[in-house]
Amino acid sequence: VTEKKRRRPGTYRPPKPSEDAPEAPPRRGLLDSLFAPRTGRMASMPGTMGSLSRGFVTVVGSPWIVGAVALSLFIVWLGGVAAGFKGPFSLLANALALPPISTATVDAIIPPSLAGGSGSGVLVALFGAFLLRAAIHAAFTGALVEQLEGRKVSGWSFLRGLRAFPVTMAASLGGFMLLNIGSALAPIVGGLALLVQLAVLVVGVYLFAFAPVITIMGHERAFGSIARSLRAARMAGSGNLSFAALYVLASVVLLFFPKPGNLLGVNPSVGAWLAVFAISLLHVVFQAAFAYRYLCVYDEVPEAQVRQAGRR
Amino acid sequence: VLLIVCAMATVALPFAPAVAQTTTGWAQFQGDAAHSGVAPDGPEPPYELLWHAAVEPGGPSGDQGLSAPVIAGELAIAAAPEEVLAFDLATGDEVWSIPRALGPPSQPAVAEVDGRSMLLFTEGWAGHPPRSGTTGPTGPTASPSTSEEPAAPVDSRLVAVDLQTQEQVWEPIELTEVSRSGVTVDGDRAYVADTRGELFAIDLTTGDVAWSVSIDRTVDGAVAVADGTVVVTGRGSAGGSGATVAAFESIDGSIRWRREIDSPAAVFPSAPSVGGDLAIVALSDATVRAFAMDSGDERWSSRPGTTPTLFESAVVQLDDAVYMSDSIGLTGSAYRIDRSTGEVVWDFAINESIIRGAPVLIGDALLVATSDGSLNAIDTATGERIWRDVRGGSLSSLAPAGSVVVGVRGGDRAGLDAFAFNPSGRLVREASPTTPDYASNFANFAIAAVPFAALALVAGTLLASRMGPAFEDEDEEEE
Repeated sequence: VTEKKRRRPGTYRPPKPSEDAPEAPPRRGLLDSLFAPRTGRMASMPGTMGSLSRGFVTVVGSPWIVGAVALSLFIVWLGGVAAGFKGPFSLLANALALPPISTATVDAIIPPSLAGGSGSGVLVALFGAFLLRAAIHAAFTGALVEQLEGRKVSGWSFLRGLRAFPVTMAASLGGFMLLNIGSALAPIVGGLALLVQLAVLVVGVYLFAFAPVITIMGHERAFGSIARSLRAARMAGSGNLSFAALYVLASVVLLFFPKPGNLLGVNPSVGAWLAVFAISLLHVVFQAAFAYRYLCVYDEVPEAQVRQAGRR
Repeated sequence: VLLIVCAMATVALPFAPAVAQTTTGWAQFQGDAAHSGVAPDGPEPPYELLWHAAVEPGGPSGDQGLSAPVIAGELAIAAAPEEVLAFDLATGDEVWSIPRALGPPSQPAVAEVDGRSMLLFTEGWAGHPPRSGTTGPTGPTASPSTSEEPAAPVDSRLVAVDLQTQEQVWEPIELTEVSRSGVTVDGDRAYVADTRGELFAIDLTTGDVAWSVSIDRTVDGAVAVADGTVVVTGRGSAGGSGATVAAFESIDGSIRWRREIDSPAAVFPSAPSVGGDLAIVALSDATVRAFAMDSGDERWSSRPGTTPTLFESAVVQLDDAVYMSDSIGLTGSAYRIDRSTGEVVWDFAINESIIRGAPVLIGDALLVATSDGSLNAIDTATGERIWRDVRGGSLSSLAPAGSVVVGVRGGDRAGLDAFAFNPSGRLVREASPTTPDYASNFANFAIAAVPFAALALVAGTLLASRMGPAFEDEDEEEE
C-alpha cells in the first residue's frame, strides 16, 4: 500500500495538513465528546454524492471486484444450501453489507436456523458466520483500497486484504454486541424500539466503517484501527453520521422492498440473482465510498491522546 | 391364513389413537378425540368443487366466520356466531339452523349415546364480546380482555341437542368463561375448556358435570383424549412463562402430570394430538414437542421451520409419522416428522400463509389449506405436491368424510366449500421449491452474472475515463 501524498483530482482539493500531526483536542465529557465539534477545523471528507460516485466507479472499474461480488455470493449461497438453508434467497442481498447490517439481517437469521434455533449450536454457527463475514469484508477492503489508490487489482489484492481480518472480526463482534444492547433496550423504550434498532445499526456503521481501511493502510493495528476509525468518523464537518444513516436506511428499505426470491426455495430465478447482485453491488459501493472518505482525510485524523499521568 | 390376514391388516392400517363413541364421519376437531387428523374414509385427490354454501359473516362487527365443520351422516355442520347451521353434504343446501347465543365460532361435536345422535356446541361470550374490528372472517377469534369485568352475567354454556329433532337433550352446562376449545367427545363423556382455564368433563347420558379442574391458564385449543387420559394445553404469558401441557385421568379428573414449557417464546400452544405413547404439541417458539403420555417427560423437541400453525390447529399423527404446517408471513410449509425421533423427513414449501386450521390425512395424501385460498395435496411418501386448487378467499379447517372434503372459506366467498373426487382431473409431481437443483442454480447464476458483470464493467470503463483516478500523486503534480 502506497504512502505517497495524494490528492483527489478535479476541483476538490483537501486542505494541506499541518507538518505535524494535528493537536489532540482537550478531553471532554461523554455527551460533549459525542456531539460537540472535535477539532478546530472542518474535515476534508467529500460529500455524499461525491463519495458514492467515486465508490461506484471504484467497484465497477475493476473486473476483479465485480466478479468477486458475483462469485462470493454464489459460493455463500451454495454453502448455505448444502448446509440445509431453505431460503428465502433474497436474504442473501445483505450478505456483503457492512456489519452490523449484515450481522442483523443475515448472520442472526441464517446460521441459527441451520443450527436448529437454540442451544450451543447456534453460538457455534454464529461464530462461523462471523469468521466468514470478517474474511469477506477484509478481502473486499483490500481490493477496494488498492483500486482507489490506482494500483492494479488482482486476486492477490483480496488476499492482502486479509491482514484486516482481526479488525473486521472485531467489528462483527462489536456490531453483535451493539445489536444485543439494542434488543435489550427495545422493551424499555416501547414504541421507539424500531428507532432504537435502526440507531444501533447507524452507530455500528459509524464506529467501524473505517477500521479495516486503516489496517490495510498500515496506520494502526487491530484495536488502534478501531480507535482511529472512531476519531476519523467524529471529525467535525465530515458528515459521517449522516452518511452512515443514509447507508442503513437504504439497506433496510432494500431489504423489505418486494423483490424476486423472497419466498422459500433454493433454486433462485435469474431475476432473483439480478436483484441480489444489484443490492450487493450497492453494499460494496458504500464500502468503497467509506474507504474513499477515509483516504481523503487519513492525514488529518487526530492522533490518539496520550493520557497524562496525574491528570484528574 | 386368518392370522396372517389380521396381522397384515394391523401393519397396514395406521393406529387409531382412540375411538370415540361418535357417529361415522368427521365428528369433532381433527376427526376423533385424539385429534389424530386421519380420515378413515374420504376422497383422494384430484378434486373438483362440488358445492359452495355462502354464509355471511356475523358477530358484533359482522366479521366472524364459520367454525371448523363436522360431518355426521349426510350433514355438514358448523357454528356461526349466532346460529348453528347444517348443510346437505351432497348439495350444500341448508337443511336446518338453530339459534345460538352470540359466541366465538368454536367447533361443535357429534356423539352417539344410547342410539341417539347428539350435537354438542358451546355458545355465549361470557357477557363481554370483543369490540368490533378486532377479528376477521377467518382470522383468530379475539380473546375478551381478561382485565375487563363481564358487563353481564356469564352466559357461556355447553349445549346438547338431538341431531334429528334439534331439541335440547339436557339443560345447558354453565361454563365460567367464554370457551373457544370446541367440544371433544370420547365414549360417554364430553370435554370442554374455557378461557379461564376450567376443564369440564360432562356425562353425555345425564348432562351432569362429572368433574371439573382448573389449569389456571387460558385454553384456546381443543381438549384431546386417549386411553383414559385427557390432555389440555394452556397459554403462557407474554414475556413470562411458556405454555402449559397438562394431563388428567378421564375417570375422575385427577392430575397425571403437568409440564410448563421452559421457553418464554412458547406462549401459544396448538391443541394436543395424542395417540399411542405420545402427546404432541406445536408451540409458538417454532418447536414441536412430544411428551410421554404416562409421565409427561419430553421425548423429543423438533424445530422443523418457523412458527407452526397454532390457531384451531394440531399436528397429524400416525404410528410412524407426524405431519404439520407452519407459516411466517407468506412462507408456509408442510412437514413430515419422524414420530420416534422428531427429525424432519421432508418439507414442502407451499409459500402461502397458513394461519388457521390443521392439515388432514386421507390415504397417502396430506391436505393443507392456506389463508391465500389454495387446497394442496402432498404425497406423504415423497413430499411432492400432487394436486393444487386455488380460489378466492382463504380456506381452512378441513373436514373429510365419505365422498367429500368440506372446508371453511373466508373473504369475499365466505361460507363452506365441498370438494369431491374429480375423475377427469390429473395428478402432478411437483417437488418442493426447497429441493436443490444445482444445475438450475448454476445456469440461472450464469445467465444473471454475465450481463450483470458486462453492464457493470461497461459503466465502469466509461465512468472511470470521465472521472479519472481517485487520487493523484503530489510528486507527479509537482513535476
